[in-house]
Amino acid sequence: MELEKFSYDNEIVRKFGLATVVWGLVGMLVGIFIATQLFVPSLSFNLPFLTFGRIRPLHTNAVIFAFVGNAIFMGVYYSLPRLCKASMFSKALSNFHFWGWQLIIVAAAISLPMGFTTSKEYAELEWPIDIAIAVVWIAFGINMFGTIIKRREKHMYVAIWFYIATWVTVTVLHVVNSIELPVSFLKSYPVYAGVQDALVQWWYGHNAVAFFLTTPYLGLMYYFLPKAANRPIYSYRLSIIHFWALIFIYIWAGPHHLLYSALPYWAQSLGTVFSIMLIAPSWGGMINGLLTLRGAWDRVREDPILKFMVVAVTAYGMATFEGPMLSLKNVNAIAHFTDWIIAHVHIGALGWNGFLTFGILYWLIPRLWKTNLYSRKLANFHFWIGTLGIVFYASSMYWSGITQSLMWKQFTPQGLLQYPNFLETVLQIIPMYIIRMIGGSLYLTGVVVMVYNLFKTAKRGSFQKEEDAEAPPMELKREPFKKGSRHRWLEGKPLQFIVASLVVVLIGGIVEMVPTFLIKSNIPTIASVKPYTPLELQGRDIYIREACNSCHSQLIRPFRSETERYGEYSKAGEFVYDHPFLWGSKRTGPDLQREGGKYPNVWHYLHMENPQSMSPGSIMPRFPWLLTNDLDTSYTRKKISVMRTLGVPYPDGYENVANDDLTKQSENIALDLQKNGAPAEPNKEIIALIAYLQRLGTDIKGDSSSSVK
Amino acid sequence: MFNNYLQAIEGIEIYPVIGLIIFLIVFISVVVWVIKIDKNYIREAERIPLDNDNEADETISLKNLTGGSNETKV
Ligand code: HEC
Repeated sequence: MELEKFSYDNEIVRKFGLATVVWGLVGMLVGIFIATQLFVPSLSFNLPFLTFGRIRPLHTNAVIFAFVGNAIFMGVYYSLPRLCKASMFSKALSNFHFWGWQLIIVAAAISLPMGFTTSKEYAELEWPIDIAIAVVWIAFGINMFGTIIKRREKHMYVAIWFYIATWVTVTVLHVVNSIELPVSFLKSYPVYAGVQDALVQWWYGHNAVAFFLTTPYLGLMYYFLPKAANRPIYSYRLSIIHFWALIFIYIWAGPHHLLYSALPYWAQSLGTVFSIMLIAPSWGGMINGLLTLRGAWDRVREDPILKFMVVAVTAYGMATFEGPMLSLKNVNAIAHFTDWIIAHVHIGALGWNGFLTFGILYWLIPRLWKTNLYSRKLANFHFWIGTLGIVFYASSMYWSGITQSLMWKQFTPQGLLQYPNFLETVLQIIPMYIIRMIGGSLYLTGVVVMVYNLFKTAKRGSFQKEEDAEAPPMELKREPFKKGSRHRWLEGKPLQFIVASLVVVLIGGIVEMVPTFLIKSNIPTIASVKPYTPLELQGRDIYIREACNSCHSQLIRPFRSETERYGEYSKAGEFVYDHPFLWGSKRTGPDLQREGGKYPNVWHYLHMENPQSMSPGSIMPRFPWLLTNDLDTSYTRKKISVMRTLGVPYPDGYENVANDDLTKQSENIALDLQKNGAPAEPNKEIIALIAYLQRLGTDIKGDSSSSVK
Repeated sequence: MFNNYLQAIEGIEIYPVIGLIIFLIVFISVVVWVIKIDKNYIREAERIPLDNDNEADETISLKNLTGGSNETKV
């Protein structure tokens, strides 16, 4: 048969590779910066855009979507054309994808520190950026499917299935979790409230881990590990089971982020059951990866690329064993809200994503530049210092998480909390925060060494933009349908494949969410729960802007240790007007759900100005600008109407008088503050924030009016 | 403590069961599927990523193993 000539675009791979390295450095550096703030809070320099709450999403977004995201695209743009024996569908789309994605990252890097955030973890970006993400993602999809359709290789290799499932599921997740009503150009409210919002968010959050950090990387593993080891994957059959079982089960497990929360019990149990089942396919995948190297362990000892990959796959196995364990209710009761979870995600991020990326880079860069790696010694050094970094990081966070959790739960023989002052449990773990920062720095040092090594490698090679290739065209003849060829049939048809994976993914989402949405009685209403006053609503938006929820939960679990410390446990009906929900996922500071009425206004005034003045040794950052910034009331009207559209029962026409009510309430609070010696003016942001804090949790104490007394 | 919600939804206990059944059906069919796939196909498919390896590629990966910084370009 005649061979067709075509070429592979290496330029786009180089671009995404460069972006991977650059954003990786940025993301990790930001991580170290905020890790250091947790024991030197003054490092925020009292500047809004450097405080923990605003910078933490920058770190998570940079690592997930910029570092890992670009690495995925680098790997896909290298492997997909080669697996399809075809050039990418459209160079224009490839470039649009690249520049669009980088622009989105820049938009995130600017808007997040400025305080524009939806508050939803890993989906913090505001609605215009959400739309841009959708557009770029679709361009990527067209480019990918176009390439698959015009391929010259009959079979779609397993890596491609993982790429397809990734694309399909991320599309669904992004759309469903981003449905929001704009208030202004960079402010919106999600259509979901309270428990439902939480369920959607963690269905998204969990599956962002599954379908952005896991499935595309499994695709990369199935391509680059055989490449680096120069032998086929251990069991191709196992990889088929791995694929279908994984994408089917993953989508169900989201509720394990909400155990003991106000989420209906059955949904929590569903999350647990499916999380446990996830061990099977995950370990199937790990074993498949590791056994690929059977009989070649002598090479693993020699080759840094294989070493990185082996540790990556092992970290994948560890994280996917730990995850299901964390979904057991009794383990979760200890681990949730603590640094244990931080350790867990970093095993995944540093070990699995990071190390696999490094392995791929060390393999890929010499090939793109047609040369050898500059220094194997330096690569080995990177491997060891990176591993050491992970060990420091993980062990300190496990220790810190367990220590703090035990202290939270410790009772004296008299039945009182042993450590009633939350701050005591924070100060105890400060040394662990220091060790964590050292671990992160070791890891970053390794990355810097890698960058030098790869730079030197590129320097001595010569980059080839286009790589020529040839292959026979695919025969279009349909094979007769025979027993056992059904999967082959599916594989030959990318469109059917997309539909099949979409169906599999949707089943889980639908069974989980529809009942929560349709059945009213899932969320028993509580008569005394009233909508926020305009001032409280504004205060809540400041709370969101400063991302106080990155350190404070608003969810009291039904344990005696929590009800003793914080008050009555959380009820689903309390959150019906919370667009978005603000339950939080980490207690660096205490829970705030019943904060209302706990302290006088002036306490909050002084505490926000300088937390250490009220709580010596506190690691909460200072927020002095809240005392001087004027509250922007120009959007009050719009906010009230949007909330009403979303179903919050403000009376008709209330938006017209909302600002009058706002002024009245703020004057009362300012008066109270002045009486107690604080030089407060009624039109400052701090007044709104105090109004919100004093409202928190007061509804079911039977006091639904504003708490100004 | 959340039992009141549980009871409020009619037939709620059926949801996890439905989930489990759907999963088992999918899982078992995939396994049956996979067992039936013929060997030749597997042998072909698993070598797809390696097909592209030409001579030059091989040399690079071998050289990589021997490492060192002063090697000649390929
Ligand atoms: C870096 C993490 C962090 C961030 C961000 C943060 N806090 Fe805190 N917060 C703490 C810690 C730790 C404490 C406990 C020590 C103390 O009282 O200062 C605390 C305590 C508090 C308390 C006292 C709670 C009590 O019942 O004693 C309030 C109220 C509070 N924070 C409000 C806020 C608000 C509002 C924001 C956002 C503007 C915020 N915090 C942001 C860490 C944080």
